[in-house]
Amino acid sequence: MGKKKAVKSALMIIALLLLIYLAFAQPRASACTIYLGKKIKFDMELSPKVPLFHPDKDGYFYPGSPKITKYLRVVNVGNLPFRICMINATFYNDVKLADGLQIEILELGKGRGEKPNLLYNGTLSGLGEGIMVSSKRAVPPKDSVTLQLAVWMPITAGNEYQGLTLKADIAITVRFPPAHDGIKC
Amino acid sequence: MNRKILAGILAIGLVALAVGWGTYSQFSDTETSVTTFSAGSLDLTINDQNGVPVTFNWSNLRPGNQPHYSLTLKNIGTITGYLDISSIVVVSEENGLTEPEIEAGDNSNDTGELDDVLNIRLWLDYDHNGWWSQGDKLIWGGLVRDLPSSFTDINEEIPANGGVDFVVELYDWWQHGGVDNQAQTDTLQITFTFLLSQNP
Repeated sequence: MGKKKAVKSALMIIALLLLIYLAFAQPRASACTIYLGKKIKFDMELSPKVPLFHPDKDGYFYPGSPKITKYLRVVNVGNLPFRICMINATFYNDVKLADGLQIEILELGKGRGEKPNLLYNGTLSGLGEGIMVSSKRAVPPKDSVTLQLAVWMPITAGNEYQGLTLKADIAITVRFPPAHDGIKC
Repeated sequence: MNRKILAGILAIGLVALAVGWGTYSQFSDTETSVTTFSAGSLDLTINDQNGVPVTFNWSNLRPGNQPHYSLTLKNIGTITGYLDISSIVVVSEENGLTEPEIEAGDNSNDTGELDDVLNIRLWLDYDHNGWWSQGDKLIWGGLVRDLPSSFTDINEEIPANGGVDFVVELYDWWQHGGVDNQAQTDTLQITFTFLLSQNP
């Protein structure tokens, strides 16, 4: 009799936990349901594919030099929506220059009404650690989101950066599900 | 029987865990944009040597001498720079007193008088002929003793890989009559320090 009670209690606890879990997992469960039975393709591309910044076409940075602004489209070429969740950079050559450059990354809105969303503003070297970003928009399949990247050298930068050249691979990571749920990238 | 029930519960738990795990899993994709950033440079050379101060020494001068020297200042950096003279140091030495100097009224044994009788002209020699001519950019002309200690407003724009000729000329040692004798045997040294900066 005692054992039966124990079994009943265990069943009740499991049932309760399942109910709680399902209640919180509802959005993700439904997102999955939509794509059941479809061949899943989760894929993203960046455009343009040519180097975004290059001294031959953009000139050189110097203290107080004007911001050089470029646009990078993050295109959804798969069939699942995604959201940008991380930006990081890997540096080569004169990596010290990354300390002397500032970068501002904005996620541009669609149309005139939507304000840009600031994803990062700080030293270029700060991207080396990889930063988790709070992207505003979930990008549906066949759609894209545009990032505006502005790079400049502050007027306070010193002679130590003269003549340095830095190669930086800026990596954008997107993830599915696109919900804001605090899940790591 | 109880074992079967417990096994069933365990199986249900495992299934629930698997479902939960699957729901929490996610896809991610990373793409990379390759970029190159370069900081500009300013590098001033004087007669193809790295930009150290330039010192001129004059001695054994006499009235009517008009020595002049041309320096080629180049920007071998990658961005446009603006040229100034950040420092000018004049040293006028007596170099001992001779009889004619004393007779002309020179009684100081520590200060020369060449800077009182010599004029100096500084200019940017746009036509590269080494002489002052129309169209060149005059920086200064007058007695050496009145020469300022710097010229920070020249702001001569020198693009990357560009250059300009700078000329120093001493002239007009004529008009001082008997006082000229006070400058006999005197020596003169002038040191110029040039500055190439990114902003005018």
